[in-house]
Amino acid sequence: MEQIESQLKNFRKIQPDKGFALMCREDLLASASAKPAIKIDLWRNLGLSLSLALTAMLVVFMAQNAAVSSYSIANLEKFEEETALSQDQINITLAEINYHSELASKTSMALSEAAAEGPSHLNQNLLMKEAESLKIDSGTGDVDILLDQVIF
Amino acid sequence: MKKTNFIIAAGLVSLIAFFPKPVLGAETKANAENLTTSVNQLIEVKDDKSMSDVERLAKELEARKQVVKDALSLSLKEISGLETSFKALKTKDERVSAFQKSSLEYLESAKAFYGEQAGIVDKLASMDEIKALAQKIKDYRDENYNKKIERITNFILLNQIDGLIATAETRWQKIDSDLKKLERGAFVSPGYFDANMQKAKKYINDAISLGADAKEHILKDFETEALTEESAPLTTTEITTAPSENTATAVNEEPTPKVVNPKELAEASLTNLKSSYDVFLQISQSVKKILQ
Repeated sequence: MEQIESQLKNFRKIQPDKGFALMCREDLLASASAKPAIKIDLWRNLGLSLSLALTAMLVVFMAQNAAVSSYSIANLEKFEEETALSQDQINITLAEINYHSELASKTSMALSEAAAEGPSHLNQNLLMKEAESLKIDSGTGDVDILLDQVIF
Repeated sequence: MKKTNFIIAAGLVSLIAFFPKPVLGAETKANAENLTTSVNQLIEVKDDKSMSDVERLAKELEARKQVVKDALSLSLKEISGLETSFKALKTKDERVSAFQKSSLEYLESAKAFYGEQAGIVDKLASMDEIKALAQKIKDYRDENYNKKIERITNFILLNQIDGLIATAETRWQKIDSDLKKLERGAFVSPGYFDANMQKAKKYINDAISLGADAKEHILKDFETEALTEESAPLTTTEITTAPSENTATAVNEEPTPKVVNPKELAEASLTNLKSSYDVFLQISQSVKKILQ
């Protein structure tokens, strides 16, 4: 019995290798720091989770109700504003289709004037009349006004 | 809800992405005004009896030069605007790509021609020389330039029209969604606005069809020209077609064949689009009355 006791006492003196001890210590420290600082336990916070979910559902429900109660078509002012914008875009494009023809005619007439023999070929009144006939008539208003809306 | 949001978002994006940018910008407009001014000055000088002949001829020579210079500036600006717009066109369609490539090459050659003429205007000393140059430029434009430029301009504008059509389609879907909500809420009898909505839809579909026809005419015209460029005279832009059902709302329904061209088709497409918005407004006003 005494022999066993003395042998056990000898075991108490056993110590790990210093390198092994250091390695273990570093491993333990590293694994400890990898854990999140704040641990959220969803089971423990089930009440909170449910509250959040219900709030989210409520927000979605209210948003849907809000959308249903405000039909965009019924907001006449905004609707007409948007429609007017689209119609302006259409009118501008219509004007542009004709604008090239006007430029081509204007340039052609100018070059004819520069190439003409003398003043007898064209007079100002005739040119004014011709220029008037070149005015865009697309039923969309004055091309200059329409183009200015985009250009300036 | 998600679908409605998506439609609204798509509408906004299309509005921003497809907002028509003028093919011919502010500078073109300024150049056009300069040309008008210089032509008026030339006419005044020609008619001015207060000067001696020598003085008048000297001023007339300068005035003629100015008209030619302004005509060249306007043409160069026009080309520049078209180049910018056409280069921005992204397409995977091989036919469109071929047309785009060829057109950009043509614009480049036209730019070189005008640039060359601009370089010699001030060097000309006689009235006959400047008259001859003016005639040369006019002939160049009459021969091919005007036709090709019109084709390019129309094609670019037709692409802009596609964007406007997309916006109108989005608007239609948005209204349709609103009307369904009103029906669900028992504010409106089911199908109350169906006839109007179908009418608007038809206008939009006709706009799509007319725009597609116009593009097809342009591409066919280009392809025919490319094939016959060296051996046969150029084909005319105007194509004779019988009015189809698609063009019924915009082009008068006549039993005889009607001459249509891409420009007229594009205009008809836009007119249909405008009509769709008129219907939208009618529906909106009716809804407003119902909800009051």
